[in-house]
Amino acid sequence: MSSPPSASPTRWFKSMRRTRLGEQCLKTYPLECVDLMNRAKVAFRAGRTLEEDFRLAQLEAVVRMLEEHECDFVDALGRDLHKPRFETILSELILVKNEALYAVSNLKRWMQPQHVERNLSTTLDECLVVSEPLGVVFIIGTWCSPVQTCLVPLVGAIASGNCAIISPSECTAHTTELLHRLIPFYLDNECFHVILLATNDLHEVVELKFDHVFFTGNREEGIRIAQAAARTLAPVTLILGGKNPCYVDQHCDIATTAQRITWARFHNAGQSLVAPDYILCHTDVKARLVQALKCCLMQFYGSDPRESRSYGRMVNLEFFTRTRDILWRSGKVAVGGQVIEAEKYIAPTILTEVTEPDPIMQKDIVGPVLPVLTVNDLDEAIDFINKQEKPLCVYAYSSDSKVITRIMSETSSGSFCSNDSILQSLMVALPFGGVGASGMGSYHGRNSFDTFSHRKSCLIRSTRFECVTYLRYPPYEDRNLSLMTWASTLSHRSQGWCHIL
Amino acid sequence: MGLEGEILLALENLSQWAAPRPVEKNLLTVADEVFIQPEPLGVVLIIGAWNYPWAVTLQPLVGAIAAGNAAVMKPSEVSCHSARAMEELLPQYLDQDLYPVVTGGVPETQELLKQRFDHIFYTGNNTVGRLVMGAAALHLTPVTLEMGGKSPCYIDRNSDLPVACRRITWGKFTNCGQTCIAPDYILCEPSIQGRVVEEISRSIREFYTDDPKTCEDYGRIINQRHFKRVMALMEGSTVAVGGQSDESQCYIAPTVLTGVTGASTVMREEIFGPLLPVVTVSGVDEAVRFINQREKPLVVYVFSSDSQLIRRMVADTSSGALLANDCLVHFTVSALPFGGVGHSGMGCYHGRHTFERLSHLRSCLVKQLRMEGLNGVRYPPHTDRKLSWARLLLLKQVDVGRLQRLLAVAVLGGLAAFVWRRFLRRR
Repeated sequence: MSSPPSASPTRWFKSMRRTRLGEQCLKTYPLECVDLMNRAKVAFRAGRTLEEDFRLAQLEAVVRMLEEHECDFVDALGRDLHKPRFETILSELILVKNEALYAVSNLKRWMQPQHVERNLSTTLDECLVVSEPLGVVFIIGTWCSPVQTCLVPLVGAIASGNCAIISPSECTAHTTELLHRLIPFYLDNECFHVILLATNDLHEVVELKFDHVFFTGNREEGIRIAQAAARTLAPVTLILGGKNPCYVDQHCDIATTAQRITWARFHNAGQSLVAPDYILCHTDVKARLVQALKCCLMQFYGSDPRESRSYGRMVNLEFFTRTRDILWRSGKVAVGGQVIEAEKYIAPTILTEVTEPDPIMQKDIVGPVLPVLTVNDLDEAIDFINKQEKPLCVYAYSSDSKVITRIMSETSSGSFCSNDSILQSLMVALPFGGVGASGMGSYHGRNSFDTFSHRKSCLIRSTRFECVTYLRYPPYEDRNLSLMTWASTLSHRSQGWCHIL
Repeated sequence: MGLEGEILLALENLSQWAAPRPVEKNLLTVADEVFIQPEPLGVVLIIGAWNYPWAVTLQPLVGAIAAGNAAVMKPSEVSCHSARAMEELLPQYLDQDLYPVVTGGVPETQELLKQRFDHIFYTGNNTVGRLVMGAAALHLTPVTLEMGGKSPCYIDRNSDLPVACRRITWGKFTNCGQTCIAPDYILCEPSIQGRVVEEISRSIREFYTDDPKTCEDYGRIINQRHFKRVMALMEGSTVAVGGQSDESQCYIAPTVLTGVTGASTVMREEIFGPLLPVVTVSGVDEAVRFINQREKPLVVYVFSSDSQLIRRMVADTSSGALLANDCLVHFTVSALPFGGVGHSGMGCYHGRHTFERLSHLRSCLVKQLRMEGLNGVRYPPHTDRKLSWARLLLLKQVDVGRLQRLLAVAVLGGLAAFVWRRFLRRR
């Protein structure tokens, strides 16, 4: 059994010397990545990660790391995204902690082999499915939720007994440096490594032949990663951003709807993969909705959001410029629209008179801009949604359950939530992932464990009862075939009572 | 039989598989509906293989139909008669628009792969598997790859050798060794090698008579190219049993090879033919090392009466599946997921697993626009007090079932106390 490295003064000084908070950590070169990967492979083959105690110890170390360095995380995310303390703790730290604690309390059960239903010919045998770790996995995080997108998959990788190499986003330099410094201090130094790569170098490292690649990010990068993984036959999980539609029906409580949408869209300054990307609003309620959204913005962030401690900033100049340019070339600004380049600040903005060909409807909006499009009825809204690529989430606000049921059954997306947003992606019991252009695979809770496991079928027979198995051997006789066919139909018809026996 | 079984299973269980699946809630969603809804993916491309042309093309089709998808089938051109039969028969029974059959060779397959599908299900070899996955990646199409590998078969010296060898012979030489899950090579101790070869030889004679060439229960190699490939693999090894061949018939006799080491020609690639090499190892430790030095196979076979040894093989090796004391039969248990890992494949199918693989399991949270007061904790302006409440409400896991049971017990307890006080205590 191996426990995480103890807090020795030497290790502490070494980690301090490597980086200081605020200083960018050095890029990891491909050769160094090869070396780290080999170390992880050796550690995996030695069987370190297989023991339940080891996995529990590592998971508990993750929880301790988040608790003991809560202030450091708040500080780092504050510098990178101007993320308020509330949001950091809730949507990053507590989310990861919850996943880790859920894994700790369920690990024993997840690791147990699962006995499965047998057929007539295997009634006397043991049929089970055993969950095995895959080996060394590669986790690539994204910048809008830098801690959570690295550590929640890591929790799954640890729980399922793998070693992991983690690459947080280069855009959130302070958070990446913090993870790079802290993880060796809490987790096993041979099994888990943090590397820093430029986005363009990611696919090079993916080709080093991992046993699974877990990527969160945008679609273009996702395709490059998938192609690189195909060259080594590495299975992938891709969580890709998309345009999440949000339908607002004419029959709904506008005030509550506006509050929930405002919170979902503008937290983290709109930089979220699961926030509603655009609104499809019934013409009857558009004016009231825009007015209600405006009131909510005032309520949440005050008359000048720039002064509010609850409002974030764009992660860097590139994304700031991109969002600003799209904003200026689409529709009409109904609320907000102010930008300050020096601060990477974009005011919470609502656009109206937006049409489908506008630039803002052609790309994912990873910023605090909410376009409001109008539709005349539910059919039009469903057609519009189905014309686009399948998104990560579809949202619908209505007090009419028939409307909700129709949207849910006539559209497809990674997940669906009615009368609220984002919450479905925070729940440990629900699989979180995309479909089609929004990705493949899923995670959270047990799904993380299964994503990083191989479920091996085991059939344990004995060498007795050869008198029965002889029926299948050559020389083939029609008589034997009839007997086996008859037994097979018996097996199907009697599946009920065979099970009881 | 296997295919019929799959269809009957799907018919019996479809409504259960496709129904929404409720999940655990947290405190804030305790009054909401939280469930997972299986949905079809769309259009699935099924690329079949030539060794079991009907099974490996139609079994995924059963799952595709059950999950509500449309499917394009591309049977292997190598088994051209089966492909033609499929092309003729299927449209007579299934909707031609939803389930078309495309026949042809490499150019047709390449053209299909340029199109955008919602899932690609491929059975075949590693090289083409890589190409399929690469083509799919361009469209972000998920894939299921059922490939192969060298499936080792370890025989413990204390196992029941006659039965073990008979089962291995059946597993190996069925379909003339052209089975992805056939035992590819044997690992055993030198002390039992002689007996193993002898028993296998006896079983071959039992099954296929002294001249398998004239036995109608013995198959042939699919084509000339594979015939030449398999014949070339014998180079450098000693033929202990069989070895005869006839190119005009693509006939290779059931053959056992000895004098084989890890570096022999026959150990370089998946055999996919009726050659059974026997590699000697000093014991189970060396066998495990030998297996782990190579790519993860589709199956690991172990013949032993020692359950500790079997458990050790389960724990110390990795493969798509593990089968103890028999060959091939795990394919027939529909509750067991069938698939590879690493180089032997990704994804699994059979029974319910095909349905799950070809569905999208969509998370659904159906809330109401009530109880907005509670939501106030998450809205800005942020305060520490709101943070404490939010920690409790949003993210703690609650076993709603347990809460309900506790509530029921409390109510019953209260009722019992009331009854006791009111009616029984009076006496």
